[in-house]
Amino acid sequence: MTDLERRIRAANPIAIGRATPLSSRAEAELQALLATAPLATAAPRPAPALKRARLRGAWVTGLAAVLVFVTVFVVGNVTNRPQSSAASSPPLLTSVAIDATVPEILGVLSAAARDIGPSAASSERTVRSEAWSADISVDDESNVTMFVQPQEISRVWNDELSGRVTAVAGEVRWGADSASAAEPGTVLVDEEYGRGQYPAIFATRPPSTAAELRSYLAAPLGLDDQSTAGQWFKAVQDLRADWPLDGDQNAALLDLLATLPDVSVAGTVTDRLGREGVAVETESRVDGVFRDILVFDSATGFLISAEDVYLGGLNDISLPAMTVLNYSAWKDVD
Amino acid sequence: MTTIDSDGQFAAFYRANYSVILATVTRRLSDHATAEDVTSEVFRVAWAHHSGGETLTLPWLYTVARNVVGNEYRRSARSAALTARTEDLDGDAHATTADVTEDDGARDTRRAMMRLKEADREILFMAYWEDLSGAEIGAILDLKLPTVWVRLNRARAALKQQLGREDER
Repeated sequence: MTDLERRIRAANPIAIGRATPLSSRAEAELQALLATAPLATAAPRPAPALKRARLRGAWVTGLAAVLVFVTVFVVGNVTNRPQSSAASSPPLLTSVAIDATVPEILGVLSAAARDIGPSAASSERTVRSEAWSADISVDDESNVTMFVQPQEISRVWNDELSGRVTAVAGEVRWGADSASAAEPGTVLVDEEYGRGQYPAIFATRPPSTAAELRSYLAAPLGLDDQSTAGQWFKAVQDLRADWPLDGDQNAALLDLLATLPDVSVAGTVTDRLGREGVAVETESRVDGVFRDILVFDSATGFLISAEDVYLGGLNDISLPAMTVLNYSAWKDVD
Repeated sequence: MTTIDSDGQFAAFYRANYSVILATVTRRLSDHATAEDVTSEVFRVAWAHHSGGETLTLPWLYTVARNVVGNEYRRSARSAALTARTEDLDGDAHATTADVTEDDGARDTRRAMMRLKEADREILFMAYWEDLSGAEIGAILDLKLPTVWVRLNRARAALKQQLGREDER
């Protein structure tokens, strides 16, 4: 950069840079958009016969060291808040508490993932997920109607940023008022991207250590030490939309989560695809208005699902408190 | 309605581009709060566009922002006031808290930029204040990349010349 260029930049009186993190207002407005119009959500369906990772035994052995201390099982939703009052809203996840500390649990999951190790580098990566397609409307008297329709999402892309994104409608899962739902099997999205055009936030391969992953996530999203755990959780979802993660990368992710404040472990859950997992959550985004949940495979430590819950408290959103806003369940995990 | 943010593309797009749009709008309007309102409107338009199955790009969003700013000008009659303030060449039209502590060099540079032709000023803003890449600037202005570099060189040269005049005063 030349002196003149430095001088031009220094003359900018606007203290907003491209990497400036979202303000609370901006984050809340994003959630309001997603919650009051056609909504990004993920779909539950009967559990497929999943091929479990080869190191399930390692997890069982490792987790046994933790679970041996379990003295009390608490069955409930992720917290003791009331269930969602939104008609036709997906139910909150039901969790069974694990009597161990957050570092212990994340450490065991990380070790299980690290045992699986790296995957072979490939120029083509595929991210497959099942997503809820929810449609929410709120009338003047704050009555909420909602239906939830699953979609099969496939994102395939290459190093030179060519690729294809498809989304196919599934059966409506919740909600009687689904007249505007798509016919199951309808191709909702089918977009091809030429070289350099694929809309990846994270174009380069994710790193395999927590410190490197922190920088990697922070760079395009403007995160820093002041960012909330919830913002990091959202960054993880953004990352997972772009990349399938191997064992080392999942381990790095878990190690990163272990460094964040305001993170707790809800317990073991069954995700929307019927898979057993451990739910890690935070209620730190937008001053505690949203709960962000990441679910890791109990056997492998791989991230398998993510979910957001609106806890209530925003004037701009008429949805009832404790409404499940969205869910992503990744199917490219084996 | 079935087109949605099924894999988080809109949320990711929002997070990646909110700040650049807010910076762009703030530069064009007289206060930060109004700029936030306008930025909200820009992304409401983007959400509707996305929900209609259209592809979102930064150049498209930038164009929407400029249009919405135009609407805001018309709605609040700020345009004349802002123009008058700009013609004062004091840069206060873009004032933020950064102005409180800035040195004379920054004010001189901004004053010199305000004396440039609009096309030169805009491309400098886009490249250095909004951190747009050459490719993004080209897409927004409908220029090929080599032309963007030529225009940028020309704008920098004009600014350098203007700064020389400022120093002579």
